[in-house]
Amino acid sequence: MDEILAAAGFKRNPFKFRESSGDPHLVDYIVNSETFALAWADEPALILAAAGAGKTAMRIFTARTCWTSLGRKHPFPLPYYLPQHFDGATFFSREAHLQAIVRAGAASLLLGLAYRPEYLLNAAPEIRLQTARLLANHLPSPLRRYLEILQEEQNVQALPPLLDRAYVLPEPPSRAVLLEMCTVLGEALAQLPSYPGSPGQAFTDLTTLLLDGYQFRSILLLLDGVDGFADLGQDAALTCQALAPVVECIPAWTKEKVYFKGFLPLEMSAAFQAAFKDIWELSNIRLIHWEPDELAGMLRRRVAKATGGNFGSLDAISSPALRDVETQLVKECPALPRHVIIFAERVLLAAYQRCEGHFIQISPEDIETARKGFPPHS
Amino acid sequence: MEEDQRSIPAYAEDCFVGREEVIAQVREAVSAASHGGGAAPPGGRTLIIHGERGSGKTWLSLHLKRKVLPEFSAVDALLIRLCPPPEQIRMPEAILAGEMEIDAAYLPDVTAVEARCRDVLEWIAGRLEVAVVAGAALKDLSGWVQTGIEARLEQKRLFVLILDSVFEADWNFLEKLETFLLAPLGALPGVVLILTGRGRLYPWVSPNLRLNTPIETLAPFTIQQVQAQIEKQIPHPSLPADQIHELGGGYPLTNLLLAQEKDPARSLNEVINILLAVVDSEKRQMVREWLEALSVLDGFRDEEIAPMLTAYHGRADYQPPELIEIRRTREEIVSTHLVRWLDGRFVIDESLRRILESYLLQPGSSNTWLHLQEQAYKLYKDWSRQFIRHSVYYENKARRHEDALRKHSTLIPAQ
Repeated sequence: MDEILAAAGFKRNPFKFRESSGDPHLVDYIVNSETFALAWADEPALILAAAGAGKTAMRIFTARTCWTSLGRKHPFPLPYYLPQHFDGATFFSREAHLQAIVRAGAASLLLGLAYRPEYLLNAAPEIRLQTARLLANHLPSPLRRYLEILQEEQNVQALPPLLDRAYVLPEPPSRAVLLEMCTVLGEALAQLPSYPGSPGQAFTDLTTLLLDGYQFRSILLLLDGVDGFADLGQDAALTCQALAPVVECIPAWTKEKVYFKGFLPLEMSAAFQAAFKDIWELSNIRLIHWEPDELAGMLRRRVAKATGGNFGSLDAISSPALRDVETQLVKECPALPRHVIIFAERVLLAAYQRCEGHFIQISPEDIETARKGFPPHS
Repeated sequence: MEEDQRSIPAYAEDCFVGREEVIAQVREAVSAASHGGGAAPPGGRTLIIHGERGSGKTWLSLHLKRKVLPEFSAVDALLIRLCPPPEQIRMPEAILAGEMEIDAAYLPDVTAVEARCRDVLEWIAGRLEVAVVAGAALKDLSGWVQTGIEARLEQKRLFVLILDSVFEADWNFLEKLETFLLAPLGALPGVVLILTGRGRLYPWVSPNLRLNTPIETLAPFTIQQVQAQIEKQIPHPSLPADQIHELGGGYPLTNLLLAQEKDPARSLNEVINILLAVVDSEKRQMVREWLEALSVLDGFRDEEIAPMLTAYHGRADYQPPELIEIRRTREEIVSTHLVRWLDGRFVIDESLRRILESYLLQPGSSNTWLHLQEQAYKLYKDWSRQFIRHSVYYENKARRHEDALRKHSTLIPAQ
């Protein structure tokens, strides 16, 4: 398939990755500019969407953008993906949430420092000690273990699978600089007794280190994964109850430059508004809703980047019987990015098979073939 | 006119014509940056100026750097030209202080991409009088450049970076440039980025380059502007402004070239050769034939190419290439930026397309133009019958060619 796509003008398969966390080109496909602007702005926000509409993609994109596109004084992204910290809906207490947030923050900090070691290497000795303490006390596994892995692999890409596989940034550091970071952190670690502290104190230590120590502009607490719990999925009111300890902190956190970004299921919006009226009014709210032209635009952007700009639509490799192919593909699917991407790849595959590997030219027949067995439009 | 007598004048402030709106936008962006400080909206400090080949982007870049921005006492401005034009259409231009020219159009591998990016960062660092370490990582160079600019901003100065011919640059290079220069600079409150270019806009990732970024398009000159341009830049024009406008469409570069030759057919032929100088000499004739064959269309996809080539050659024994070969050649032509993807089809740069069609309309080649128009008409009529779902679309395309034939009915031989 890759060879045939190359002959068709593609430098890579534009529809290979259906799931956002594994897609190294995720940043290329975000077209909802207004939602995106809300996600990384220094203010609390609620971003609501149905399952598969791109909440997680937007959350991951926000985190990556903080590190790559917002200059040196950028927000610190703190992804708080609930299923990563809780086996079931056991997060009803403030302490449970704070503990998990600090764990998530520690993971995010270690990943950030591994990709951008200059933050640690340029920090004062006291900041390095505080960093080592926080990481030693709040990572899922001992800090020394992660440092050993980095020193063995000598590659920062070894870390995301252990902590957050979506936390992948471009332009990784050189081996030498990465190892230097490990050495510095290891030396700081050697000077510390273990001192976990209370969840509340740990949270304060984390935010102080990030805002005052490393001077990040703000902290974006990116909460996601609510719909990952079966026992909450059907009960929006119960979900609100579970989130209450975090939500109630939003006003105070906002004053401290910790901005809550809730990536929540659409089904929760009424219950959330009822349960947290003040917070609802305080927050900026955006609904991720994919209009057909936005989905088509997403497909075209993928095609454009995958061809290096040589063309920006599947029309370029389609028969004259087809025009505005992306819009036609979108009409065949439920209005969700994942479905549209899968369907587009099926069409390419159908064209490849029909053309018997010589040449790809998409025809209406290929769309018909791809439609068979594909989930019908609901 | 001999080829070596054709001249393209160097930029001169008093020879600059038009573009008042764009210049006003630039002044406004700089003023806003100086007053807004950190409150300026993301993307509000980036301006994109888009125009066809020969629409005057480079002259505008020079005018902004040398005339407009010096009007602001607290502005430091740098200009980098990323894809210099071929020798035949290059201005005899001195590169002044604060200006740089590099070739970033085609870079064969990652090493070349990084080297070019390093050239840019080191040059900017030098202009900012920031000390750098030889062979430093791009990340470090980027950090030093940011530090240098932040130091200037702290002294209440603004920094304006003009990048000319951005969109023709290698996309791998642009990705690095965005990561190490444009995204970090775009986040600084006192920085204004002006990006000029033609062809497909690069899909930036950084919100400071994507969001709220106005795009100004440089339109071709009106007849009055052509007149003004010729008066200022060509002492003794060989053709009147209205004829120049009719032949070339009003694009400043072709205006200049057409004005220097009395015989329109000869002039058009030479202008075409000049504009095609970006194509490898071994392939230039073939590319010219292709583009002439396609010049009567308002856009094309692969399936239109064979019928139009057949009509162009007009020989019974002509065998057009197979679709697979067509696609390969089409990709090569697209890589020259003479053709780009736009709104669902490939289009020839309008400044070139206009000249090509004007050339075909000259005595001696008008039969070819007729055959091409008739072929296009027939092709789209056939498609309107064959592809029922899009019959209205193809019918409209057929009508366009029918109207063109009617407009030039004097060219049609009497039956």
